[in-house]
Amino acid sequence: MIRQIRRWFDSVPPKFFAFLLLLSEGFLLLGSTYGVGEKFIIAQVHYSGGGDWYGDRTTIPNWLELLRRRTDVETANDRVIVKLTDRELYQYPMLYIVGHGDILLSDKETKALRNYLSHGGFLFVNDDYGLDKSFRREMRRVFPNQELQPIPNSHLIYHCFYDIPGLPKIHEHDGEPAQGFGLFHEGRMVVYYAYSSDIGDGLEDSEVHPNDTPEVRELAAKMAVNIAVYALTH
Amino acid sequence: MRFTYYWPWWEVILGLTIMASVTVYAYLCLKRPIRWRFKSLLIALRILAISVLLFCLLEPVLVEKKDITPPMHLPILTDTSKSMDLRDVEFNGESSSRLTLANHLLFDSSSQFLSSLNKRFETHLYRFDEQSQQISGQLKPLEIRGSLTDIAGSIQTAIREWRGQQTAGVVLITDGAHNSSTFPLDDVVRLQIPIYPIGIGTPEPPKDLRIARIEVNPIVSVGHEVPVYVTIQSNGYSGNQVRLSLERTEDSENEGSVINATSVALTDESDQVVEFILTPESEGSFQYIASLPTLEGEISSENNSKVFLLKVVKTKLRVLYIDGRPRWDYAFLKRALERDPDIDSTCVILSGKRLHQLRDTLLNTTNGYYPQNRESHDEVCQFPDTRDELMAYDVLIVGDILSNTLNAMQQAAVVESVEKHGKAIIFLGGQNSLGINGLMQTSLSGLLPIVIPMSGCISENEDFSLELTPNGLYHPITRLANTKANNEAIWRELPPLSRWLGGLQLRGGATALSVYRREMASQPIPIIIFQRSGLGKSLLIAAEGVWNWGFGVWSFKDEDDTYPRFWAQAIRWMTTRGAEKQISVTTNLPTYSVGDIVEITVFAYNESYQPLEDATIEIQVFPPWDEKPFQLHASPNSASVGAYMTRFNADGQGSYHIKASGRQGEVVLGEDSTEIFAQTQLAELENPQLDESLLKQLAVKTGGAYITFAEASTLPEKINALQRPIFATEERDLWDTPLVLICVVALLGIEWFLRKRIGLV
Repeated sequence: MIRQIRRWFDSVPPKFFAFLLLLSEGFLLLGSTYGVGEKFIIAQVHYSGGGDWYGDRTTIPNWLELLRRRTDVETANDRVIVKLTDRELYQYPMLYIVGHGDILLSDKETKALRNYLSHGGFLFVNDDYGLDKSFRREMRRVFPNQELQPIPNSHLIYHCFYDIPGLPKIHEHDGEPAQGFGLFHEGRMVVYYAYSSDIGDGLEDSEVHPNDTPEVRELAAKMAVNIAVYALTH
Repeated sequence: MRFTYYWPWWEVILGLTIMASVTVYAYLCLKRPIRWRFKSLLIALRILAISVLLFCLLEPVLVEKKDITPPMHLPILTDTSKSMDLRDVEFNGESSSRLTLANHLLFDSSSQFLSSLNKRFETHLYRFDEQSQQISGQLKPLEIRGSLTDIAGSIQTAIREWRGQQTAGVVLITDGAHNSSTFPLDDVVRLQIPIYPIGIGTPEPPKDLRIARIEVNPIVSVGHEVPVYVTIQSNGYSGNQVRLSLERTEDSENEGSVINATSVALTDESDQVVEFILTPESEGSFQYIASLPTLEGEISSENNSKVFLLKVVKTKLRVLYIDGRPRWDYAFLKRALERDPDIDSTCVILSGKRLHQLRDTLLNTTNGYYPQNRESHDEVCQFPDTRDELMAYDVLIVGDILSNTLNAMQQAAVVESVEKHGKAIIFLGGQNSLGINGLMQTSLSGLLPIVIPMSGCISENEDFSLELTPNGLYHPITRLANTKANNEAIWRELPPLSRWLGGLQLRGGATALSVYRREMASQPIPIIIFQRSGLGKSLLIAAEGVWNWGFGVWSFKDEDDTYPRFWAQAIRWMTTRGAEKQISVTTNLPTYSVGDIVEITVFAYNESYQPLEDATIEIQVFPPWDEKPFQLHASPNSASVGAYMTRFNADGQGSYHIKASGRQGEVVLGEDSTEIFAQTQLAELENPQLDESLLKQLAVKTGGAYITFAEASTLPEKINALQRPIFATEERDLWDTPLVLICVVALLGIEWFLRKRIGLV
């Protein structure tokens, strides 16, 4: 009898079990509406210009998982992808931009981002090396009268949940120190830009960057938690 | 013709044959010789008489078809609103008012307008402004009445009265100045009745100078600078310099003192906004007036001034907001509170995790509080432990906290400050606070305007919009516009919330201000709920995602202040009323137009501040023209326990002092008073020119025709109504007529006479 069951299990393709697992998870999610909360979600921006907007595929899910586990924030499970001109943009008060190449914003996107940030949105930009020049150029179009300001290590974003000495260096690209920059609108920080740090890579699944030590990954995790908590409390 | 009494045809023929046979046989059997021709005549007469009788037995009736098509109805609606009093048209070489022209058209013997229409149609005269009213009795020239114009509503009312009958169309004699709401053209088109507007007036804007609007926060703090924005519009006076002054009036009769004045160079192109800064020095309710001089040739000077009321409260309101988790509702409300110049806010988040779960984090060193600013990092602001510390705040906002967020001492302090010291508490509900491990396990549950079920609330992620209840339409918390229609429109357009918390039962004295009307659900889900709690007030928002009103709204609007305004109003109203009163009076608006209905609501409470259903409420209204008040009696409002309502008409301009007193049996409950202001309705003067484009559009879309006053005599030709004929059938008894009797008697009589002549009788 046992042999028969075993034979049946062997004959069933593994995809079938994966499907069952997904199905059960789906039912679990459907049934657990109560207690999940109005879920916090981070929207990854789909921009033009060849800077690989789609990078860091596992970053946001891991980031949300961290927040769920370590803080009181109720989160969704996965990222959403939006364009700056999408009507749905205003369903997501926090945006994530990552890239290692050129970012090009159309006039319409520039205006949309300015409105989004002016009216309460928050943007975290992760420099995956090579993004700096085009990002600064585009931000000058978004807010022509403002410049990205270096964020001092005493700023609350480094001390709102974890006590961090400053923006951690996660990946080495060209020997530059990691540096946090911010852009302010009516006294509120609306953009946080992590230059030459690559928090996003530090949050990816460990198989993606196997050389990252657990200590480095933990630094990235703490910084990511602080960024989200800061956005949600200010 | 048809027979009422039905016999089969063969029975009739059989009967007739038998009768004829008997007759023939009887005559054949006669022994006396009679000529055949004579005998045949007698037989024929007898058979004819029997046939007529048989015919009558079948009860024949004559069926006649008659054309009873009535003449088609033609309602004629004449505008009698204030704009029709403008003298911008010429009649008989003299400057005349628009209504004079309309009266000439309808009632002058020299005008053939009405008589020519009466030849083809059954005309019905109506007058209209805000409402339409049929003119009955003796026809006489119309007079100006209304201070608003509702063209669409008046058409709909007139057509409704003739529903089911043939209507050739509707004739409108108007200047087209529709101003009661947005013109619902589609609704009128849907009626499928052609409209024939006759435009009266001049299409060019008249020369005028006016104060279009005044924007000011209605509740401000003593000693705090208040910006007052006065918008001026002018036409025909470009380049003129005028003096705009701002005065405070003690009452409508006395001249007030000028607080500020400025010179304005007028321009016709656009609105001109002038900013004044007021700094109120004392507490109370004050009336201000902004005014402009009357210039030569102005069409009206009534719109050169505008009154507004300001409520001045003692100091900045202190608000304490505690939440149980970082969330967007927290972030957006915190920002709104910080930006409000009249609010001094303290916002804290206390983690629901145990301290050992927070090791390695800063929260381990701050008793679980999330640090809110770097400077005071070492002294993170925490929720007060004692009643005295808590008493420093006017309003407490409780977010999505758990049962253990506040300790027993803190909970007791909150309950005492609300129930015994009249403080206000706002619950910004969440799945934790209204869930099984939330407020229901704390002493704060008694302050909630709802009862949480034993299993906690039902929580569902769903985008949904709110609908105001009859109480919410006029409640100071949810009243975001001055008119009911505008308020409903604002709430309809608000972005949806993202989670509702249901299954909650309203407490006896609670009032739902807005609800979510879910499809297929038998009962609406109350979302914004208010109640008195002891001496204080309690408000619950049983939903999450209120931040969408402050953020999502920008996806489709360029300008909006609904979110900060909603919170500003809610916080101010929760704190400004005399909380210790058992009688509380309020009106549906602070300012009215002359002629408006003022709705008064009085709330009555017992000593423990539970709503009273059996109170007797008397109201005295002191009108501006008389020192002697008139009395009103307020009746219980079935929709809201403890609320009593009445209304009166604000007939004259000025301040009305309303004093309400209540008693329960012989026990006096107390009294409360409020003040309202009625000013001349000026909407009619805002765009008083003939709106030909609206009238033409109305005519084209409904299949009618637009006609100028000069062409009015051609109207009958332009009404191409096709009439459907209506026929009615009428039946007349043939057997029951004297003719039949005469016929039978005559036939039998002739037969008898002939028989007698030949000696057969």
